[in-house]
Amino acid sequence: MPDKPRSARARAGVTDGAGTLPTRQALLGAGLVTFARAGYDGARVTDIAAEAGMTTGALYGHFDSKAALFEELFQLYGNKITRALDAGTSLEAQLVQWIEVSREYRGVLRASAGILQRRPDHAAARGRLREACAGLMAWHLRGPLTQRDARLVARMLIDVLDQYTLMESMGRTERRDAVDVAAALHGMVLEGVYA
Amino acid sequence: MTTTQDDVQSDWTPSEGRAPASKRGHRTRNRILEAAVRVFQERGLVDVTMQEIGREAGLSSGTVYKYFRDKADIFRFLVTQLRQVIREETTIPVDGDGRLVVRPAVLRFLELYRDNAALYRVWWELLDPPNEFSDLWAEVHEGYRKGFVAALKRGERAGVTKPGLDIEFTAELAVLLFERPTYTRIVLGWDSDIEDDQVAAVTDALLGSGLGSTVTG
Repeated sequence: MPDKPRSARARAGVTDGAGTLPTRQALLGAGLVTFARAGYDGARVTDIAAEAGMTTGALYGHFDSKAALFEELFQLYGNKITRALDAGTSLEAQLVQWIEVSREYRGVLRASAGILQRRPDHAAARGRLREACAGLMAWHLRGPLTQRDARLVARMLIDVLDQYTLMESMGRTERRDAVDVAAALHGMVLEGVYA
Repeated sequence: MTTTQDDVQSDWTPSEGRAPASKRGHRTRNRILEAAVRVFQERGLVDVTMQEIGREAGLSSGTVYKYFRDKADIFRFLVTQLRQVIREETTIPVDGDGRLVVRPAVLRFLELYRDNAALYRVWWELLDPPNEFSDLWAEVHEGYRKGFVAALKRGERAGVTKPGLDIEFTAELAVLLFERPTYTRIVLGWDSDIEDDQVAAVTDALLGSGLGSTVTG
């Protein structure tokens, strides 16, 4: 996983005789850290390589471009969040999972926000991930709602959490326990704000 | 369109300290602003140049620079107008019982976004890294949040707000519920399968009495 600590070997740019997977993972981890710190435009390839303790050349040995590295990170994020939502046994548990995985991948979300409007291919991928997540959440929103309404509610909850995570990563809102955030949002879904 | 109104521009200082005193100057400046909105609508701000804005307006870059220092200067002018419109048009009323009247507020917010989609697009584009525009955005966001806090406290005094509700944080979530789905819908063009009324209805439920405990979640 990209958030694993980097080994001294990876830091030194040493590749395994058996394969280069650890190096690749170190680069992904470095990408995540650098995107979280600097955003998409602010993260230069040299910064990512330096974060991994490697040369730019070593990075290009694994990824064609910054965009390619980002796409792979986005894939990892998408896989992890859909697996987590799939395993969630209630809407509230899913909301907690959503927040925790998104915090772990806040570098992906910060970078994504920076390119969402000017890269239609990425916006489409992000839209597909939102749909997949909404489908998994809507399953727990049956009850009196039609399938269509349940999906709309799920999309809106994802939107709220997307912005919440983004604002948190920009320091625009205080960091709260994921369980408390999920409980507040879940309470609004079930009971609204008025008695 | 709100971008060419002249009555809210009194505090504006143009780039060369020269307000367009003449009718002709006004017309030229509005021509630049209208062209900028069209360009922003298509491509945002980061990737466009003053030359392109000039070309869209049918003016030389030299003329454009006479009115605005740079593209951020143009956006600053436009977003200052939008800020004024937001101040006047986005209050959320409370009914006689002390509850928020959500539905029409959602529809009006969507309308405001639609009318100013180009500016909202640029505004979101400029949120990160922090700058004067993201600070302004945060200020607007905080203004909305305080409005919700006041409304929920009023509901509390009237005995309608859910007992024990975390008003401060619920108000934050309420703002997000307005802002982000509107952004994805209007600026990113998502959810074209959904009507505005449905969005308003869901927002109304979440900021009203909820969707009911029969929801299995």
